[in-house]
Amino acid sequence: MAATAIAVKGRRGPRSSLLSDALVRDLVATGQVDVVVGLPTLDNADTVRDVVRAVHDAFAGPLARERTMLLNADGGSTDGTPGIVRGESSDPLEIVTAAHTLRTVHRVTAPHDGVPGRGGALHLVFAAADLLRARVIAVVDADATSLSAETVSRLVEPVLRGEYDFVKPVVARSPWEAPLVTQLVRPLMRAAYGKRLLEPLTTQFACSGALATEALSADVWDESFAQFGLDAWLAAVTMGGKARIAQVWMPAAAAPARARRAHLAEVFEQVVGGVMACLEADAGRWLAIEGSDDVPLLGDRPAVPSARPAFDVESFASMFTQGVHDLGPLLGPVLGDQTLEALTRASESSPLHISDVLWVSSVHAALIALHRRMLPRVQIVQSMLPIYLGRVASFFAETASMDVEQASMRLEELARAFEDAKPTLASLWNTEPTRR
Amino acid sequence: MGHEILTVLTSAWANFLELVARFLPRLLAMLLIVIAGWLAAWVARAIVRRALRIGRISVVVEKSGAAELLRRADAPPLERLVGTVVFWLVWLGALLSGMQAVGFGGTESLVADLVRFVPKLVAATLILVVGVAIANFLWRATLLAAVNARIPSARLLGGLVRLLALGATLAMALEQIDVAGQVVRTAFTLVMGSVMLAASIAFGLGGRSLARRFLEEKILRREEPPGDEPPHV
Repeated sequence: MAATAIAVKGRRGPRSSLLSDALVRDLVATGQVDVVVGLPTLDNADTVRDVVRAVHDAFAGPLARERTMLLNADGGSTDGTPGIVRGESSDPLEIVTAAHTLRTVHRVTAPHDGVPGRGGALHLVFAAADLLRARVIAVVDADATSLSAETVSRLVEPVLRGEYDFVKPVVARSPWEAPLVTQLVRPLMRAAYGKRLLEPLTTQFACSGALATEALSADVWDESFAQFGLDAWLAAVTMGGKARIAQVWMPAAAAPARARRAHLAEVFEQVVGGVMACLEADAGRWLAIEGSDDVPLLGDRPAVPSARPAFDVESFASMFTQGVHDLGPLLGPVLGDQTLEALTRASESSPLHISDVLWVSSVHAALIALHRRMLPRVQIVQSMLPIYLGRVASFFAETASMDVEQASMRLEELARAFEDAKPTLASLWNTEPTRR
Repeated sequence: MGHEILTVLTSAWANFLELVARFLPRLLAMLLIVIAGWLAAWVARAIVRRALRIGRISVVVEKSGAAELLRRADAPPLERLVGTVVFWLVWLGALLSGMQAVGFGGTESLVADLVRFVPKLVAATLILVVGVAIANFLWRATLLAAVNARIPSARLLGGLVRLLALGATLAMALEQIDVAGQVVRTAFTLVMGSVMLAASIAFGLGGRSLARRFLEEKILRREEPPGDEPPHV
């Protein structure tokens, strides 16, 4: 392999700071591979064994004809996770373990369903795959215990066959599950990029080597949102580019253990902050896109569950009311007087009702405030949390007597409201603010 | 007798004319200095306002929250305010120089005091602008953290933090321009000390379990799980 292949395009620092000499030696000893499965870990001793086993079964079964490698990017586990990963391997050349530096070493709680330092882990996996000239890179979660040889193969095969460049897994969820995705991230990104990707935030995916190389050349790896918003960014740039995208049905994953889940305020800040920063950085690409297209769904669609998660919507509603009242002086300049007045009226209504239009205009106003640097990003995002909780409470109240199909239709209407408001967002985006 | 009176009058008239002849150039010089000073002050004000507009200082001031404070105080926008201050400083300097040219006593020290005061005023203004920005940042951060942590009286808490930061800023700015330095220092120390003591007693008596949980979380890294709430993502 030529030494020039080691250079990572677009990276500010030298490659040596990313891939250690020992890792490069391991990679060179492995030689060229077809499929690299990246496994970012951080203290996943409880679950990683099942995941590694599933990957090995896939290597030995459906992917037996391919040259494969599992790359474990460990963020500094103290519970022996890398040892477990290595111990599960029958072929020492098949597994490479690399430590990557966490930017946020003080933080040990997993942010939503990812791990801290995820940006560093993905960067390392992509750079290694680039060095190995892999055709397919798949990234799996260390706590995805529902993973099997078949599901790994289902993720990898469409890219391996050359039919798609980017494949995201999707699980059947009820319209009331994951409200941060259904109420905000999914419709916002669909309207922005014109692609109906159901799960833009999932941390598992498969992509082509060419796409990984292209991602490596982007100047985002040192951005602040790279640590937690990288999956959203990857989905966004893929949707905004010419890559062929598909979604593949997967069995429902078990929820992460309570101890590994972060608090809502943190999750909200990381997810919404990451998505908004990504949209701000990528505005040149998505502002002109109109409408939206379906993204192919591969495999058999499982039945959609009808479970309603036991959210404490009453406390959400009271937090919204208190938030709108207490944050009024701060929300005014961010949302504008008209939207704030409408939210104040909503906070006084019973039952609480935040219409699609009001919710969309609040989100868009926050995005514009971020674009115009009216306040620090983190504070704009934090100020949206009570409004988000109000919207969730409103949706639950509105759909209390609806079935799954009707509630899903309401989500579709919300997505269309985001699309309908996009021209206004685009015109505001390009307009200089008028100062009082 | 008549001759003597005439001589005295002639002499007095001659002295008067001599005085006028000596004073007139000074008066004219003063008028010229004042007029030139006014023109210079006017030009300086225009330049400062234009420079601030080009430097988009209004954006910085708006973001820092200082613009909101000025609006509340019915003060003009910062560009106009700074321009006006510059105008008066330059013209005041010119007036004092003019008075010095006429020969009024004591104006030298006034001019010297004014020259010494200008850098202090600039420093005090900078302290105020930065201090207001920091106070507003802290206010927003406290308010948001308190609301999102569902702490009651979040507004009061945020307001107190801002008040303390603004108080500290004002004390520093006043000390910079030597206005009642001792009084300001003492008052600030008393207020700050009282607030800290009250907060310590309140935290110690009312929040022992909270303090324990906080310390356990921070020092022993025992994190409180987020409860039984289903995941939002």
